[in-house]
Amino acid sequence: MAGTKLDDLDDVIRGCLRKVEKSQEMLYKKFFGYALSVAMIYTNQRNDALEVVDDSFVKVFSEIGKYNPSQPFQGWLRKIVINTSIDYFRRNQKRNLMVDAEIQHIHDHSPNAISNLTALDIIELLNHLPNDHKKVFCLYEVDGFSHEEIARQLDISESSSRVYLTRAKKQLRELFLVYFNTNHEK
Amino acid sequence: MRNKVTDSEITALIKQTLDGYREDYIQGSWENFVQKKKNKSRRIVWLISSGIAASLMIGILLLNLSNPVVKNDLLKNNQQVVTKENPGSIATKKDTVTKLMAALIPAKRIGSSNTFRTSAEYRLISGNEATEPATTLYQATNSPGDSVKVTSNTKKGSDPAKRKTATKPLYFSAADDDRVVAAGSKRKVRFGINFSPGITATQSASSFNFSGGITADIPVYSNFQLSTGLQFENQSIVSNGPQISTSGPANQSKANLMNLDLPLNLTWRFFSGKLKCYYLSAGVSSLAYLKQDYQNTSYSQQLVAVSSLVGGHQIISYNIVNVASTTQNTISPFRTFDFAGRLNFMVGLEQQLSPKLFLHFEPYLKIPVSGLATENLKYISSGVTFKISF
Repeated sequence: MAGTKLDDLDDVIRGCLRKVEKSQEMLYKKFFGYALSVAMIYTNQRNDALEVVDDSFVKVFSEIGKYNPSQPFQGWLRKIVINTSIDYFRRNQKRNLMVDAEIQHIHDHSPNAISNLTALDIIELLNHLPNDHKKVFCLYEVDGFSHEEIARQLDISESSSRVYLTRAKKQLRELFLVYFNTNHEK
Repeated sequence: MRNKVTDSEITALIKQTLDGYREDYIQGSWENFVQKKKNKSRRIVWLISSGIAASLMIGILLLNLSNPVVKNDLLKNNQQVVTKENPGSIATKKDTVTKLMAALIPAKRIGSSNTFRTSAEYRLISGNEATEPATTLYQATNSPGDSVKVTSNTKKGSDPAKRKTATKPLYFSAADDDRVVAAGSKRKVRFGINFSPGITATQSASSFNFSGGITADIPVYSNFQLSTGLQFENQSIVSNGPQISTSGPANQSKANLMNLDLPLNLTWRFFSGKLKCYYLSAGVSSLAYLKQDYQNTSYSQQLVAVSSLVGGHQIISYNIVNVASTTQNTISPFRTFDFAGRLNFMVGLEQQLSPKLFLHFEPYLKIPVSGLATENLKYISSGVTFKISF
């Protein structure tokens, strides 16, 4: 069964290599959710994430010739989505979300134990970090990049990467405590 | 419990949760993606075509500036002739030419198709004035090369009487006038600069806008010409949404747009007078956005508890408060392109200021074909364009 799926994916990728629109559509629909979940981690808004996903698939379809079939496709796609997210912010589509004070607080949740946090809760917490801190944290802790690779990706020094990571962790610790207190004082 | 939340726990929790996180496919995403790709390719085509158009316009403009006009040659010839004949009598030659031009233009215009009043019209008139009295000039001819003959004969300057018989007098008919235009068609394209103040209106609000730029009018057939150019537009678009309640304010969307407009209009000159000309113009505009700032303000009503102490007892009352939430969004330049996104309609009046200079008044109306810019705005622009063409 797994083999059949792999064959399916190979066929789809072969179709994409020949620029067959039906194959591109299949690949897009198959990996859209995965790409969006990666983009959501690296962007602050869902609309940005959707833009990043579309930009990523443009790159996927134009660069599919460079994909090595011996490697998992998801890994290759993840790299593209991460790079596209970083490029997207570097291009700086300046978006400021100005919301009133009440909305700036962490949204109300039903009382939860910290271990019951959903992925969206965590993404929301991560969004409270400064952009650079968040990116360094995600690249290092979630995607396993080294500080050297992060420094290259984000065009910062390695020491800055380390500092950002430390600060991100500290801020997250505080955010988690605020979150925990808010929900348990209710 | 709080103390147990350590960095490593948090990191492990985040990693674990995000590893299992997977979004679902959103219906219609593929269709949006395909549409975006098409828009992107259109944007590239527009950029290339506008680049080519701009280069062509600059090229034509440079050619026009560097090419000496035929008029000068003819005028020079006449100057030489008269100088040979009677050097003393032409001290005020230029004045005479100007006066005669003024006297002769009305006669010439009868039956004229009057497409473009170019300086060529005056060339032939001034060319004859130097050799013949104005009253006997226009009698009978049908040869397109008359003006040249006049010049060449007079140039010889041997015998004034002989020259008089050899010279074929000129007569301006409608056909001749076309030839005059053809003779003057060394410069077919007329360039201009314009400024247009106006009003942008949505269903619920209106605001001031202005635009300006360069234009090029290219004659295509008889009284028709193709008008194009490059306009810079600055627009403020305001629209009010539905009210959340009778007591609450309405939601409001504001958009500040700066864009380039590449119009392509067909102009029909339906009436041409001595110095005035009226025309109708219609066509489409393609828009590329240099700046898009959006600000959406929405209101929601919330109950707020207010506690107060009355006679030592705490009383809690609830007030309804309107809470405004504002979202600002700036889109980077050239992210959006609307190919043939707007229809243009205008009526124009052209007033001749000098042989080479024309002033235009063009009341216009611009209607979107579909939603414009990133947020699919629908607004109508109207106003008056003031244009100087040369």
